[in-house]
Amino acid sequence: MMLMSTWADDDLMMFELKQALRETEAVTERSRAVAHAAFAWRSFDAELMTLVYDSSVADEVLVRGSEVAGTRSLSFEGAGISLEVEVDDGNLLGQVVPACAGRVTLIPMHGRPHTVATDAMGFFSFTGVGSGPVRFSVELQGPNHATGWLTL
Amino acid sequence: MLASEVLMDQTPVAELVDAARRGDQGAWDALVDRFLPLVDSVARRYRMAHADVEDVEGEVWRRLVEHLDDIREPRALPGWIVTTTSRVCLHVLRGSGHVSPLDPLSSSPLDVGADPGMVDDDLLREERHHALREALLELPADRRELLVLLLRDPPVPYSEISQRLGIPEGSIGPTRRRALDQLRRTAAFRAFFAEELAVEPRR
Repeated sequence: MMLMSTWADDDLMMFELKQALRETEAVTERSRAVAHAAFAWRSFDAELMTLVYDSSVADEVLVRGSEVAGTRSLSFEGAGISLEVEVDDGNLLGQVVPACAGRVTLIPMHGRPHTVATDAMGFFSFTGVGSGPVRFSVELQGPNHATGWLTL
Repeated sequence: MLASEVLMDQTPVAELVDAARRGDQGAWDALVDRFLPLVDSVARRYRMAHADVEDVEGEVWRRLVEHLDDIREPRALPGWIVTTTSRVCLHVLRGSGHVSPLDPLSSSPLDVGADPGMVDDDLLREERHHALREALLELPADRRELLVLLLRDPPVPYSEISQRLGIPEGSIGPTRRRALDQLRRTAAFRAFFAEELAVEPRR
């Protein structure tokens, strides 16, 4: 326990300050990234879209000759909206139906969210997509939509 | 994380909380940068494996995200963070069921473990260190800079400090004294110290 006299002493005060600053240096960049990324957990006002198809799951039970090796296909459905996504080697192509201009955000659990605009046909793309848990949010006219977390 | 990174943003915590509530990622980043050393140092007090510390920190930040809208008094945030981190640590330690590796720097093997009574003083110390970092933020930039340079390990020679800050070597000592006096008068310092005095008689 620190007493009043400790706080009055400059050298002891400097000692305490040194310890306080040392704690900042112990913080790793990884801890920092996790902390920054946690903001994606903020329950934003969005209607949940459900995963209705995942090729990585379907492939286990079905052998699909038409499926391109290495490409993961995902389909989500929400109230009056659907989202199709294909991921291949870090490149992600997607389409929002009904087709209209809007914004899609890719939210990684351990990283920064990225937002892109959809074109008039509802197409969008992301590059350099890493593996790990992510979710998507879609902003069109009307209420926002978001998927749950899934691992790419 | 460098001390200079933590001591960069002087925005009041209340403003950062407000902006983060409105969905401002930058404000959230600045807010967690301010509290990262606190969460980190509390989690380390429980002497957990490195991976467990990361799990704990992730969970604390998720709880803070959910708690953002309920924060009425930002001054209570350090206490909330210490308590929450502590609870999550105890939860992880109880749940994991494995013996945590010993920190080779720990003073005694007897203080390993999750007995909350043992770490009470440690937690108060971490909160005090947080208050000191906040107090440093309230100082004028030149005084803060001087103290940070004087606190470097290994020490920075006076001649270099003099050159960097453009002040004569002879005035470093007197300026340090004034800076520390000013630090004792900051709101962060006085708020924490008043609280600490208030709990002392119970011990």
